[in-house]
Amino acid sequence: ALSLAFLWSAPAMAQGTEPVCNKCHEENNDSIKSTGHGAGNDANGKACQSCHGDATEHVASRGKKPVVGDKQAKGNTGAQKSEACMSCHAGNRQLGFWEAGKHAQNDVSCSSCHNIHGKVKNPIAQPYSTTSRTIEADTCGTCHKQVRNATMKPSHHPILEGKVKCSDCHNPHGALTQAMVKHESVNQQCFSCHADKRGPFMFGHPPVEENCLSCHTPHGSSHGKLLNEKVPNLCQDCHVQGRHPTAFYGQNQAWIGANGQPVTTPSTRFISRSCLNCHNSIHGSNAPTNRGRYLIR
Amino acid sequence: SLKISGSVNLGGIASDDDDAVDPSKLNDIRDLSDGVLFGWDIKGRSSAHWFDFFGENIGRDDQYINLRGGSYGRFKYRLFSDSLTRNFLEGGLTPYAGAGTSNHTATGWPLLNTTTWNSVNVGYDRRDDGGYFEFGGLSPWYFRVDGNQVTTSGSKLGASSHGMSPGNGYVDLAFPVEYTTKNWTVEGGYATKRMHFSASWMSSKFETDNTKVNWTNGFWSSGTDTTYLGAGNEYTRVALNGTIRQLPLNSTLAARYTKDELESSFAVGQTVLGIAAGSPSGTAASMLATGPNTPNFDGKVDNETFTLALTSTPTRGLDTRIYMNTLEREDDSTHMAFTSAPVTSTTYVNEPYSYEKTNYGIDAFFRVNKGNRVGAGWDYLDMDRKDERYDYNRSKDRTWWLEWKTSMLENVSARVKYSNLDRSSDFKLGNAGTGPTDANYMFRFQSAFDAGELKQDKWKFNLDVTPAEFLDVGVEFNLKDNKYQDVVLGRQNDKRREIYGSVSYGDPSAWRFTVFGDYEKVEYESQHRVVGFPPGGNEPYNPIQPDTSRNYNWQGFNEDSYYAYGLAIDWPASEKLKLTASLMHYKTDGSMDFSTPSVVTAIPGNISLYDDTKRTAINLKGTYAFSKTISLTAGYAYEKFEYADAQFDGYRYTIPGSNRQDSYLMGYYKDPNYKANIFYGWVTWKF
Repeated sequence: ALSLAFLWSAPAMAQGTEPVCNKCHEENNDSIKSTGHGAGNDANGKACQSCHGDATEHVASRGKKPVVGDKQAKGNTGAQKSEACMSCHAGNRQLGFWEAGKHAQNDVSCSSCHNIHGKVKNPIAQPYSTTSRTIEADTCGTCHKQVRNATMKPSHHPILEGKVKCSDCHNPHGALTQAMVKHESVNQQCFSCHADKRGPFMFGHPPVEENCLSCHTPHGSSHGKLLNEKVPNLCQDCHVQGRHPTAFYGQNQAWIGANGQPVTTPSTRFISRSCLNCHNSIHGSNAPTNRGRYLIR
Repeated sequence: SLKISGSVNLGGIASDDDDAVDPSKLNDIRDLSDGVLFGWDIKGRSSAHWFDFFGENIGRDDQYINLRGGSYGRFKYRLFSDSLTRNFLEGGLTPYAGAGTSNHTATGWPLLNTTTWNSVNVGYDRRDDGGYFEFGGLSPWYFRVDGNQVTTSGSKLGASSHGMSPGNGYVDLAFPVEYTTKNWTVEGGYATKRMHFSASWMSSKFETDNTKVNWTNGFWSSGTDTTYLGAGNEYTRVALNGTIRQLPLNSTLAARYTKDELESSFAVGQTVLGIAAGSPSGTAASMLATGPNTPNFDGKVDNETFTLALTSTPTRGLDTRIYMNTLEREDDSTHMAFTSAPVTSTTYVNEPYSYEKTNYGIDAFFRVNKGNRVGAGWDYLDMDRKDERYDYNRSKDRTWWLEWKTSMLENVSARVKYSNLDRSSDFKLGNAGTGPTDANYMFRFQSAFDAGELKQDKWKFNLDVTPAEFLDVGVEFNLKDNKYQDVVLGRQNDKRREIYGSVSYGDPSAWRFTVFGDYEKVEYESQHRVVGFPPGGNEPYNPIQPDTSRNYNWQGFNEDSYYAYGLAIDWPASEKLKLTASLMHYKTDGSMDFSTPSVVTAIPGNISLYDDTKRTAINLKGTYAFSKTISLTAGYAYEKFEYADAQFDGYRYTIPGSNRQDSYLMGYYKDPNYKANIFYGWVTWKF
């Protein structure tokens, strides 16, 4: 995305001029030739020097002297490395909140994620996917290992399948929200895709109206529907006011009892989708009277 | 002149899932059906313009087409079409005709003979078509418009109780999904290196063909019952953004304001199927008037947010951020009251829910020297529920954290962070009920983990080492302890332990590999109370009292473990042949243990199979370049998925009951196991 952003502000330059840097750094030059960066280059390596520093002495000494002021040098802070990019891209609309975002705060530089010279990436172990596109989560997952792990779980957003990108929900270039989500709150973020859940319903479910993450985890879960915990236990953690919500539901209430024998009448409150067998409208209901109040129609 | 380069692929895919009884899990999200694979990746470049045109899986359920382009410094655009398929059940059974539509009908109840049932598949296809155009020819002014339409067609899982109690049985249903969501955003702004201002307007309209599903209720006199689905809604938002850089102390001030409105209106159901309250035993169900106070429900929720952040560098090496966020939700939806005595003797009212969140805090990082950086922060969140949630009114979260990040050892970087959260809450039910013989008395002892008092400790540790050229080792360790305070009934604590490790080696001129291993463990402890019916005893609703055989407390201990490992290799065997291999395996292992007092004769039975899954995935791929323009890619993937769970093992389609209190299931997750071989390949022509 950043390289695309560069295209926005790149001046229209004639292509085909090989920069002096190409004599020694041919691979690096090849990697940017057909990009906006390359389009802004000239015989003196203007584009090369705008990121790597003044190469006058470096060229004159045939590489014996280092480039002066190379912001990408090893050991530089994230902010120093990003300075080179921001000198051109700071005016891009998606970088409006860069300084306030978590990445800038945590010493992440542009080059932590953007591979300007197209360095070959190490392979990622993951299931067969029908997409050949680069998966954005592979980049984010190099730091966010917990998230990378979650995307492989039995219930997950279709991230590895290439149908949801990290940047569909988060703005890696900076946002003023927690976890840099793109919308104002978690719920508004979730509802931007799950529009059927946003209501307003006649009968609501307050935890749903407060925060989807009370029950769901966004990246992946061992439990169906991206739930934090198995149902009925998740529901029972709040619904403790007696009657069937507070009864125990163990192996003897399942299809097969603890003795290994089939149970003639398993509990309909436990088997299959458990609480949702009846309370199907868990996100809110438009049914009248007690049917709506108890989220069962 | 425009230079065009790219590639076109043509090939096929074949998969064998013969062992799968219900292959929906295998075919969820991706289209593995036998057929043609066709795609392209074309780039165009000139001194003034560029475009990238990409397409894959053309004509398949997971088709993706994307065209991006622009003119340097003037405009850019994108057009896309992205399809997705969801599969929840293949080869299920239902006693209903019309499953997946808004009318589920069946006659001749009870219908316990499944050989007379109809087959059913549940799932939907989703397609997202859209694009954007951004004009920057008058830089630093810019204008952008985004639009997309999401169409979803098919069905999703649903269910309903036969009566008002699950003791009367329930039915699985397949709810229709025919949605269209149209989104538009228009944005204009002024962006320079020094400052950025923008204003945007967004509209999102959700339309559905079905706002309710009628279904034959075999328990209630085979009458027509109704389940309500989400109605159409319309969301609009105005947003203002502003950033000013290069302020004193090298500061940047950023702010954002939004105001949105969500509306959904519909006619309220005037009747429900049921048996009138107080009717003698054996009374047939009929349509009963619901008695709403108004015939229409007008749902309306407004949100207003304001965010401000000031980042500064007051002195060399010190970075600070001061921030505040506010969110005010105003629910102005119709206050409904259903007063019809025939349905119940109770008046049911809805509870439109408004609340206000105020959050502010400060972060500071100090670079002690080139290799060491320390950070600290404090955060405060006030959640004011405006007395509109029945259990908690106000919660105040106070969080502080410390962090140390070091790279003082060459080729080693590490970070350790500790954060502490303390939440205090105003519990509203401390005086609920008249006494321990009143059922409402038990509310005094309940808690909700999302809003109740909490102390949380969280540790995070990261280590990245590069012991040799091309070799990277990474470890992440997370620990989280939530202790819910003064909880008698409900979740008492939960713990999370996570460790992730990876080793990768990547010689750009030779072979590369990545190995990873992950482990997670989550534990939940809770306490609950069973009260007999009728309760009996002195203080049945007092969980502090000693347990009796009718009224007692029980404890639950829920544990989830997750293990995963994998290996991926890229090996350029020769200039012409490139091989890749990937192996991944995970295992989830859940359990639930119970503790009940010795006076209780009913035994729950500990659960050892609780969302236990195993998945093994192998993918081998080779690409041979016959020439600079022609190459052949061939691959084989193997996948195996196993599922074991107390809620599904031993699954039956029916649970017979007396007096038509039968349950009718559809087969969801009855047998999601699969073992599949997938063969794929294509020829690529590069130009």
